[in-house]
Amino acid sequence: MPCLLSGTVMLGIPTLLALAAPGRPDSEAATALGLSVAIVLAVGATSVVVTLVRPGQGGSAPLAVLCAALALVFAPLDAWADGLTGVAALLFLLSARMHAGASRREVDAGQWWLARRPMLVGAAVTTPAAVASALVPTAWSLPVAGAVGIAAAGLCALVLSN
Amino acid sequence: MSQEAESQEARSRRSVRWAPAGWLFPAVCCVVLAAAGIVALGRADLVVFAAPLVGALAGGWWTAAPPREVIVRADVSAERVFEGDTVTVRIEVIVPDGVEILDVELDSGSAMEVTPLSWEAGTGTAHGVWEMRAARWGRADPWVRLELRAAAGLMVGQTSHQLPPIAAFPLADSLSAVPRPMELPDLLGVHLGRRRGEGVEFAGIRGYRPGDPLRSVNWPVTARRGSLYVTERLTEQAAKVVAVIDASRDVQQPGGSTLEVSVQGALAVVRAALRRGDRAGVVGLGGVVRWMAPDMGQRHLDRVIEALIDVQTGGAAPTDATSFPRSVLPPGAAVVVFSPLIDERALSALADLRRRGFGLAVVDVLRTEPRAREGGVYDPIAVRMWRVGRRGLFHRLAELGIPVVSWPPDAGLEEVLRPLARRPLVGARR
Repeated sequence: MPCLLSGTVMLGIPTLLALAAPGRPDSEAATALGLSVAIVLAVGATSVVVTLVRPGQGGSAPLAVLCAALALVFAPLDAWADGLTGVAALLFLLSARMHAGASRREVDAGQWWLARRPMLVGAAVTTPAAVASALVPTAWSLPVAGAVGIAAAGLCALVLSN
Repeated sequence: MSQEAESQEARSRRSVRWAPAGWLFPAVCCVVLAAAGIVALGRADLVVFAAPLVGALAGGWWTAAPPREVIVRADVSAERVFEGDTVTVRIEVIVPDGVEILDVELDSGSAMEVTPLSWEAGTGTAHGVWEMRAARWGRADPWVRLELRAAAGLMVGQTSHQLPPIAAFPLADSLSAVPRPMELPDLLGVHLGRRRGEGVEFAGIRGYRPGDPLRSVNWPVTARRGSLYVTERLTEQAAKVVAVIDASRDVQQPGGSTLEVSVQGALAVVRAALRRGDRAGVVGLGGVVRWMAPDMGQRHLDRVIEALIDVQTGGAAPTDATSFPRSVLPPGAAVVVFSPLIDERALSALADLRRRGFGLAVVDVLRTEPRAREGGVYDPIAVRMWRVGRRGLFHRLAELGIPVVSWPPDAGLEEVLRPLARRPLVGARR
């Protein structure tokens, strides 16, 4: 279930961005772009389904993430959407691995996610920093990214220490 | 904790070899390529997409401190079994927090068939039960191999734990008749020899000589003839039987390889001879065979069985009969050879044994023959020539006075050896 949910979010955000893109829908460029995004998302959706159905196949989950990244290339700029898609991609990759493990033997989901806490903390530090740096002017991006990253790390430390 | 328990605990601690997970290198390569693509496209905003993934990798790697040791406890239900018996192996693995057991494999070589029965993995500990069946005799050195994962999957580790060696002893047919030599040594036994002395079997009557025991006086004859006569009796002597295993070659065939069949046959002969009260031993032609000089008793049988499970091909044992010391192959012993009769050196050794005066019997353990390839024009001719050559070989041995019997897969050794056991094996005159 987490695998399907995260996969849907990962491919859904670029889809929404592409649908909400401004521009003339009848132009040739817009049609080609829409077709490209549709193909990429279709391949991504297939990969998600393959990941769910045949969890032992190692290549389908990274392919789905690659498709999501390609769809973001075609879609308009949006830092928040990019960040959310990235988080969804990470959760998709992790839950795909848990799904593959669960297909071989019983897995305690709570313990499994607990063992991956360092990875989630790493993502929780870098993602806000990257989003913040993308939202501010270029000259301020590095200091803002640093500040937000440190703040996020501190918050994580505070949460985990309690 | 006692000293023994401490040493056992120390033995169960296994060091783990950790290495980066296989997917890590391709993932880093992809990240580098993606970064190059982002720069080429001028879409720095895609860094935001990659940020969680890079952060997760960095977080996992930063905290990667996998433990150096895990605890593997193994319990084997039996270390000495017979062919066909099963051994239950219980394995307990204890790993520290953050370490995941990916795979547990029990490797015991070709002598044992391994069947996993159960595997329960919990948090930090896992229990498994395997069943090992001794498919053939021999020594097995089972190993438990563990594949572990730590640091959120960024590192994989491997470790192994050796279980106690398991000895699988060969099973053998029960024989009632074993070939015996014509010449019997001066040993008390169950065979009627040609020598006169102490015994129960009547041999003749002769006049009394000083020194004859009074109990041997035949009173009815003495009364009739008017002078003292004694009854002569045949002595009961023990035979020496030596089973020879031709370990120079091992041919795989249905129903057990030639070496397996040879070992089973040799054990059956030795066991039957010892049960009869004879002296029995084992020697090998070629291969690796621990020679056992003829002796008697249950303890000797145990020693022979122990020696037989180490038999294998490819050793440096001699393939000529002149190398056998007299203690191992004593003169006058009945020699029962188990051989596939495909090595020319073994055949010349048989001829040499015959020339040295041993009473020989050969059991042919080859139960297969070369198969013609499908569509091969010359193969059927080659197979026929091989059969003709085989018949010629048997004829050659028969001319030397060496009886050869084949041991087909559907026949017991009793049935095969019965014709040879009807009369003593006659050796050549030296």
